[in-house]
Amino acid sequence: MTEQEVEQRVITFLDHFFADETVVAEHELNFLDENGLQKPEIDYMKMRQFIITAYNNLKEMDLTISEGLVGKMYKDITILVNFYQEYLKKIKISNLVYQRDFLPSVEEYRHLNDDKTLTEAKINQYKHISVSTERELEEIAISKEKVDEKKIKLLRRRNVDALYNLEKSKEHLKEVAIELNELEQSMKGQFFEQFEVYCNDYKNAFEEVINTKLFYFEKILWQHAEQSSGVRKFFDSAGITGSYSTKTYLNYYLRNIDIEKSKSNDWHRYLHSLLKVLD
Amino acid sequence: MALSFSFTTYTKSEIKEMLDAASRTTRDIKPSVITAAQKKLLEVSKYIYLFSGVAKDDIIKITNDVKFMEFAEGEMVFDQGEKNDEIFFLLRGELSVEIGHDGGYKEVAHIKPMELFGEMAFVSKKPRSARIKSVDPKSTVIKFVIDDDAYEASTCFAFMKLYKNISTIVAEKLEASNEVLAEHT
Repeated sequence: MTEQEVEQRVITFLDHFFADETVVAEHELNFLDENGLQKPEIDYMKMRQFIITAYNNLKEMDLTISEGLVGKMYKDITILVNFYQEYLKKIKISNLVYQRDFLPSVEEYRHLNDDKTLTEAKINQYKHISVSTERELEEIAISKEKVDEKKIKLLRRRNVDALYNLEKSKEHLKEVAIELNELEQSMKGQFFEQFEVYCNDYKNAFEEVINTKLFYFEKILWQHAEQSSGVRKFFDSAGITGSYSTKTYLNYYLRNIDIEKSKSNDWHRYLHSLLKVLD
Repeated sequence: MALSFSFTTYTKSEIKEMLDAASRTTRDIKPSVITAAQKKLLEVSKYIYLFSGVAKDDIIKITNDVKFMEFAEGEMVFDQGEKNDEIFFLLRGELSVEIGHDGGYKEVAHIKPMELFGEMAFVSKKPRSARIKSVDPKSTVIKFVIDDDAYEASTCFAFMKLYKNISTIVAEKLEASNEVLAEHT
């Protein structure tokens, strides 16, 4: 197979393998583009965990926060994040994808593999014939009964044929194995190179979509929070000063978080790292 | 195999809401503990036609920079030609309204307690057409501005009322001017 032929087969396979991702990424990017939704400068993917915490806490202050556009966007982002996480799992097992999915999709590989399986079956069959024939001949040799010479000749002939075919098949199996290995190796480089290109493209697309939608979600969330008397009451009684924003709430949250009780300091470190993002 | 992903569709108005939310400036948290000046403004709001029909909570939301100011006799509250949006309400004392005339100033009116003044500059966005001076040893006023940035879903009704009241005030002033004009012609 020429390099171009290999490339074509890899691309055809990857187009099919990432068909769902293509539909979702194209649809979502078009949505952002058509509606003029701008990608934020800040990394909202990083802030996602805390934005969701803020959303859940605001919901406790006023359940109606989760109604309307806020709730709709939250569900949308959850679906997108789940899809993205499934995608990350899917691309993590690239070696398995190559062996289990890609190679069998190549006709030449499939033929060789079928040949290999058939030859292995033949080898087993010839072994069986030879063993059973030899056993029969031994039984005749130790038997006191008179046996037809023709039958003995026929058995010997059968054994010789089986042994000959066994050796021939073993040779063929070696050749097929070499060819299979060569084919596998010749496509491996191209496959992983293209696989990485596809992975990065989709990763960037999903991150852009989630990042952008999270940005707008956060803005809508705080706009609704600001208009909620329940949230206002809470902020007032808690003595929170500043503006109705993630940054203000993060500062308040950090002041009140119990490090001893928190499951790990990772969460605390994460919150502090967000302060730098927001500054 | 069918795609296992459900797309979310948004209406035009929802997208507009997203874009608007992203472009608006985050407002500061207004504490519920109101200042003495704000408390006084609420107390006297029943005398201020500008706030007629506007809920007290909303008055706090749509006003800003609410302060008490005191002026000794001869001290100016504002000068003719000054440009700002401040609105005033006289609590105590007396003020005179003077207009520049032949190189000097001519007194054209007096402002008595419980009267609102200076609101025309907020409406017209033009320089002050007269100067206001205290003619009492101690005149006390409440100064405030209308916070246009506070316009949002929860305050739109209050703003609607406020602007309706302003149009009534302007119409009345126009009528009064027409009457004066008619007397002089």
